[in-house]
Amino acid sequence: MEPMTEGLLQNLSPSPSPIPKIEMRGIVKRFPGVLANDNVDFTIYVGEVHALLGENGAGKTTLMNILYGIYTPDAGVIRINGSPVRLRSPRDAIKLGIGMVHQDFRLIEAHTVTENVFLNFDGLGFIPKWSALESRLEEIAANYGWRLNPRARVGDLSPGEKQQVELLKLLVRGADILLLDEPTSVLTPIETKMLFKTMRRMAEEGKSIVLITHKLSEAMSVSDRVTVMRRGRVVLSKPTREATVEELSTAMVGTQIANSLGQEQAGTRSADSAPVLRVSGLSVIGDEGVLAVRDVDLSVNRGEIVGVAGVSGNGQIELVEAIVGLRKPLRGRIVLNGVDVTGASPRKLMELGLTYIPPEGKKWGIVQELSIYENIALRIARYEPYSRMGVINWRRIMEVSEKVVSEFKVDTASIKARASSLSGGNVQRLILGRELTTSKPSLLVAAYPTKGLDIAATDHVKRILMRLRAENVGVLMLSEDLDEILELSDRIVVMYAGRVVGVVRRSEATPELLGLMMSRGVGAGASP
Amino acid sequence: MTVESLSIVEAILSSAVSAGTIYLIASVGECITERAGVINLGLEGIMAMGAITSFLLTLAYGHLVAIIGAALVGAVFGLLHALLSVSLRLNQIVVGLAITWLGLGLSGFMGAPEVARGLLKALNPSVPEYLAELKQAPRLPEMRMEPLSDVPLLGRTLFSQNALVYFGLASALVLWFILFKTRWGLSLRSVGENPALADTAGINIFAIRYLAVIVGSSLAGVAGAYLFIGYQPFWVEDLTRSRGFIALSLVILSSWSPLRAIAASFLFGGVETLQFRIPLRGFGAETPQLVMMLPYIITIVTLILISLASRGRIPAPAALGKPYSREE
Amino acid sequence: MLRRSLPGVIKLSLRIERRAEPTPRFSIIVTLGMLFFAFLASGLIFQLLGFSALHIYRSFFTTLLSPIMLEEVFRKSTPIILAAIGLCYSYRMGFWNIGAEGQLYMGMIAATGVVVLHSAGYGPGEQLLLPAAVAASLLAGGAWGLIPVILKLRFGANEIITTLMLNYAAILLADFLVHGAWKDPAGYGFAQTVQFPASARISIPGLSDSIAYLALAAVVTALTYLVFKYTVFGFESKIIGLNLYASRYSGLGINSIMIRGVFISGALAGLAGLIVVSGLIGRLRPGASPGYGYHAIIASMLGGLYPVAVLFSSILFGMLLTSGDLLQASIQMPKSGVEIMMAMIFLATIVAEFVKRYRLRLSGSARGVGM
Repeated sequence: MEPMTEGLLQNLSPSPSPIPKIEMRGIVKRFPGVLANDNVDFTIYVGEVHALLGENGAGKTTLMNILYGIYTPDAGVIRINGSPVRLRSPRDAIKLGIGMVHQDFRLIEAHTVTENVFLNFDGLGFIPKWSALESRLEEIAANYGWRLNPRARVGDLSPGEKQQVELLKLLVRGADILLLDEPTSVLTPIETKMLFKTMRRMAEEGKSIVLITHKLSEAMSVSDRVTVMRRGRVVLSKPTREATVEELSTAMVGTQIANSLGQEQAGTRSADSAPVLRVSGLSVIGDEGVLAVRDVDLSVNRGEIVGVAGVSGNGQIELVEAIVGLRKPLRGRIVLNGVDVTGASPRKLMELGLTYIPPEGKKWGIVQELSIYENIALRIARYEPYSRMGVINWRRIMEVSEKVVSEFKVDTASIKARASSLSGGNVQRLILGRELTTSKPSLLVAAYPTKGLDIAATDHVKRILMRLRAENVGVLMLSEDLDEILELSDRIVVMYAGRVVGVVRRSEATPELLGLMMSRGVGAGASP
Repeated sequence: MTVESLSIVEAILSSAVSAGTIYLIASVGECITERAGVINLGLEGIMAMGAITSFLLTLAYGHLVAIIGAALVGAVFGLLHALLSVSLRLNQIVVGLAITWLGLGLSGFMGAPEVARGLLKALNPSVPEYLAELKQAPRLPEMRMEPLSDVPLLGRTLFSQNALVYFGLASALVLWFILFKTRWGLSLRSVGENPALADTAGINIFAIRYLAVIVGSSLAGVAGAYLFIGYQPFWVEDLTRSRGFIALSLVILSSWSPLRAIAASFLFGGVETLQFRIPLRGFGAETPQLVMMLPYIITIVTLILISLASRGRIPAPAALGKPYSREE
Repeated sequence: MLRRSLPGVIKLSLRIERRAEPTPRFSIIVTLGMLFFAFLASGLIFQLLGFSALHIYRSFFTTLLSPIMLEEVFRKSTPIILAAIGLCYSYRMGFWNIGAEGQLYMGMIAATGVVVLHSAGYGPGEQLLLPAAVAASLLAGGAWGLIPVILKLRFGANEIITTLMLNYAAILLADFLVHGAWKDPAGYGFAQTVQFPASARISIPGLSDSIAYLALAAVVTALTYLVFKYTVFGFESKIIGLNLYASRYSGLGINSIMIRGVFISGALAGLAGLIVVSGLIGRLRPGASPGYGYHAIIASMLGGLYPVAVLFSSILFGMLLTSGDLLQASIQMPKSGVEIMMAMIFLATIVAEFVKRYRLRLSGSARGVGM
């Protein structure tokens, strides 16, 4: 495909009234149990940055996946440049000039920038002229003011540079409609600023850019037009300069904040109760070999739920893995019930009263090939009375298993059924049941405990967390769902770029404040 | 340097190249296979099949047919590997071991005088049968590259070898170029790094993996042919003596680059010739077994050194050993 | 996926679909079915190479018909059973130990070392000779197994390669000893050690030797069954092979379990070595093992790592080896014929795994519809 020629674009951009580039009309998309898009209208104009704003689960990614050909809508029409189109696969979308940058980069780390950009590129020839391709990339990069070496290995690049590679992939294929899904979630403030500059420049060239985001501040600072989605519907769409922050945040969150469960318990704990967990000066190296957690201080008291809020990829998971012993800290101290446990093994921590609910329970928390009772044995078989002198007492384990299954309402025909037959909600119930029936924790660390669960299962998990708080257990919880954090937490720790940028009491927290802290790291004074 | 010590160095270098070519041809092929994400533990058995094929075909029809035949036999075994590991997505380790087994068993059987005689007769009735029982075949002739072969040191090392040595060097160069400079190579490496991404980019994963396994296996067949007609033209059972597995570890040593495989292979060729040279100096002249352990022990030491040098981050293709399926 | 598109509208595709969890009955039927195929296929190969397949099948079953043959089957099965049971410990943890042959050789060397010392007037006395030989073989085999597992845990060295290399090292070490320091001075120049004295030979009063060996192997099998089913170690070693992250998360001591498991694995191969030198041959000589350690790999996989099933699959391999001897004597079939049959059985075992988990379905669909 030919890249856009600049002359043509410059003629388009200064046009007085906006020309619709893409019109989506009456889009409906149902998933089992969910109406993800409910009669959505969405228009993108030539040469604009369009912010698609909404909470997690509002339906914005679904809408964009429809536009990118990943999903087919159940109803609705899509027109590009006025003529209706059918998008059956991303390849159709790419042919029509639509490109998408996903939240998780789709790059080959071991390959160079050029190799990534031109993978299976049409018209490359058997022996591509690599140096010509490299200078072409250099040219594009220079146009946007990027300092990107086409010969660099992608694995050595920063997140911001990787994103530039993703953009290059689209640009060389001639995309003039760019869909960016939460593009700033992995960027530093400086990189974010750089990206916004790029987006503005692209708009000037006549490209249309959709910024999918849940960060109000981003929508306000970079977009020409903003559309807000909530629960699968478009609730507002207007030029950004005519919109106010208050108006947008009300549109995003709705008037009432769901708060049926937590209100009475939250913030009622006495402040002087002893901390069960105290983390000081903790730094942790992440999988990519760079600091993922920087100098974090944190404490959890008995009978308290501490929620960790933050956009994913800001060091939360590394922090938790260091606390539970799955990752060795670089610096700092972790004290559990007054004992220094820095660098202790998961087993030692368990024996000292820590219990961990891992993310993606189905993958990490259980062994799919084993039966339910064997999955329970996994955790307890080595302790008396479940084994004596190394010999397992299976009857005892079966008894406990029956208890776990009935008390935690794990929906299964038998404890001898394979764990792979359980649904996500039931796996989470099984894990919680196993951990809480077989041990008396003083600290529960839960990573995204409700992610991917249906409403009933989510509710069940929340009730268990609150019961633990009532039983004077300390709870440290990661969640991507701000509502959930607000609903359950006594205190909220906000992480940004590996640092704790603020600790807020429940009574002082609002979604707007948290959103601001999460997206700009205001507490650290790192706002762009 | 005196003329005498120069000729000793020359002799060592040229036998290192000569022994190293066994590893070179096999590990260059395996570089391709592994770059596409498939590990072929069948190398050992395929080499053995290549060797026995070259033995019988050399007697029946001469060297050229023997080499082509060994490559074809390798390709057939590669096809079997790909069928099981790529299409049926079975565990590549187990598939490879089974193929090694089949190759070792079948080659041992075919090399036994009773069977070899019959096979030779079936291949070419005009060749006297007793040749099969002698377990020998004519060695590949030296091809001197005049005037290069008269250059001191390098002349004998690199330019007075047989045709398969040149073939090994050429295939390393050509495959390196294809792997790193061409569109095919880029696609192939992408399949080994991230098959899901390559798939969405429109690359045919299955075709590439089949091709990579078959090419690698044919080269293993040729390596076996070289082992016999180019290096040690006397048939014994377990002729390969784990050289296929050593080639696998040389692929790691050369960090999956055919070019670096040249250096790694010739280095190991040097180690292999040491076991014949040390006894000449007195040690182990009576009982050479300890010296014969050298290649095996050095292979293990090499694996440790690679790990230390790369500090635990060995740059293996990210999808190596993982079957790909679209649904999961 | 295998795809074939026909010109026109209809697109035929061969799809691989996952089956529901196979029942034990179904698994056994599939395995037996594939075994049958393996026999058929190897028969075909032999026929092509000029040997009568029927004759080969017949001789295979002859091994079961006479008591003398049966004893030979048991003698040959015992080292395979012991090594194969040992390998189950490695494989269930996902440790690809290909080194049973070397571990077996180390067991032979250590046991022989005890006897050589004894005959030179050192070391244990008559009563302690056999226990010392047993202990030495267990320790030596286990220690030989520790090398690759430590290299794996410490350096990430691929255990397939290291165990194989160590096989050659052990075999060469045995060769070195029998050609040199341990050569029997009264052995007419043959490369072999002194004969094991009666006090160093395994026997159970009232039982023939072969039955005694088999009984020992059966006891080890039964113990292993119990270890796998009822001990914390047995249970936790299985978890490590299934899901390493979940193992870490559940607080399993992975390194210690791995080291213990591979040690046991090597020790049992070492014990198999003891059976060879102290039972089957009565001395150490070059080529003392015809590859028992390799046969054990296939036997353990054919038995699906279930101890009792492994016992039977090892006996099947004992039958194959015995019939191989018969065929060599009767129709001059080369010994490696048996290896071909084993390879075919190995391939059949692998394909059986596929058949148990997936089914193939041929489906036709109109072009453009569906993915």
